[in-house]
Amino acid sequence: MSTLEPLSPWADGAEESAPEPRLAQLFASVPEPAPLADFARQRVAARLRQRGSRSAGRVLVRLVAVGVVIGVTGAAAAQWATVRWLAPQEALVTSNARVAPGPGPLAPQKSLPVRPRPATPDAPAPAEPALRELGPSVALSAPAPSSRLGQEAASLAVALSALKAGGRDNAARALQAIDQHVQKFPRGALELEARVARVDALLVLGRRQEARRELSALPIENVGRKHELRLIRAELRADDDCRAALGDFTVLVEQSLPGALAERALFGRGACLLKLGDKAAAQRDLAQYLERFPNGRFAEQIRAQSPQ
Amino acid sequence: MERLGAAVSLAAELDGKPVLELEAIYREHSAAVSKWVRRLWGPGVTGGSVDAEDLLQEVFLVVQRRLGTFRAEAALTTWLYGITVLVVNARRKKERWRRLLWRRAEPELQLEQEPGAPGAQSDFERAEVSRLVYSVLDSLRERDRTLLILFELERLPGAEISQIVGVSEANVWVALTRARARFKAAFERRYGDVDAAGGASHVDT
Repeated sequence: MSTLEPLSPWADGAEESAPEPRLAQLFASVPEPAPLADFARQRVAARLRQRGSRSAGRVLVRLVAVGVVIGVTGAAAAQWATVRWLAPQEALVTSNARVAPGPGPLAPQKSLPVRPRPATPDAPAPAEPALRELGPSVALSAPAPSSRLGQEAASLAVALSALKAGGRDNAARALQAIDQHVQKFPRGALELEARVARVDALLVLGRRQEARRELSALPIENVGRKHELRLIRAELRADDDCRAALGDFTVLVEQSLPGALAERALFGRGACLLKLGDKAAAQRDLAQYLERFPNGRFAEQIRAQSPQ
Repeated sequence: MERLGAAVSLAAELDGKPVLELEAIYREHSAAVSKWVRRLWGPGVTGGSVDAEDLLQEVFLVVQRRLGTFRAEAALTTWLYGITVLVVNARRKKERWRRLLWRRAEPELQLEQEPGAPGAQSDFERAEVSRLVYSVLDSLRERDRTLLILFELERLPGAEISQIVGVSEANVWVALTRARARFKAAFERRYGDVDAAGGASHVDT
């Protein structure tokens, strides 16, 4: 099966083995993707520039953070070393002073065999007090972040599986689970995911106003489903505030998204423009909608309302 | 593919040390990179949680970080393509995990890949074929998938593919032959005998 001979692409159909005319036909029919539109690339360029100007500041912050970490670690290590190695000696001196029969040249010598690490029952155990002193910081760093994330994920998974099961009852259960999750893990690593899931649950339950409030407070740009959430936010706002919804719809229409999102965004903007009284712009959008989605879910509605 | 273009500062070139400027590279190559991103990702790239803009930005962030290491041993475009492959594959891996955890996102992703208007019949058919080919490609190992996309769809020469994926050209041909065999097997598992009568349009997706 293996070869060292150069091959030709299937789509060229030049090989004698031309094994698979059907595969050749398939590969030849795959359309070449279009590059991103100019405005989209300009947007990315702007984001790159913004990041570039912030990166110098971030390097400084990182250096300071590393310095602080090294400093704190060094101080803790120094404290530990002081207590671990110097305290025994001090303790020994005290203990020798107490045990020694009196001032005499032999007293220090008695302590010599036990100097590195006091092992006699009389000797104080220095390490324990030292650890006790360091206790709080050790205890703070004890739980591994990954295990906390694991607990968070498991907790949220309960809600998500209820949500995935569908139906209002499950959505209500999911909402309850999410609220418990948020209480248990306030400001958790999966906080955003939990808030998005909450929006989903509220929408299934028909609690649109709450979903809208939740969405308005969400930093949509940082969420995976940003286009979908922006669209939902716009549609919810369009209920009574088309002016606020228009911005989101426009961003989505300019993203040149294919499929269902583009369809809803285009219709949403057209409908909002109509509500706001900008008939010319609305008609442009709705005509574009009919052109792109002649059998779309809103096509009949548009045709029924537009003057023939 | 061209070698270093206007992205090299002339003064620096005279010093014998080509210095690349991100702005210039972006101006010249971002359109091509965005095409590669779409090619490597497949038909779903413009929707859902992954969008071509994000990937394009990620590619150029890596370019920015690695500019100092570019040695001009390969064409700039080949170097950029290599970074694009790495970025897209890394994101695909991440997305697989994400979808595993947040399965609920899938229906929406599928929804966005729905075909467009039946009015545009040929576009619709081509989009269907594209979806079909990528559905089989997506079932392959990442390396096979990348090689097949670079060779069968992008039609890059073996020497360039070897630089992009970092193996010798001889190994590219060996790996490609195996990848083709695996593609064919995966295709037949899904859609029946490749050599059977009937075109792609008969394939039930």
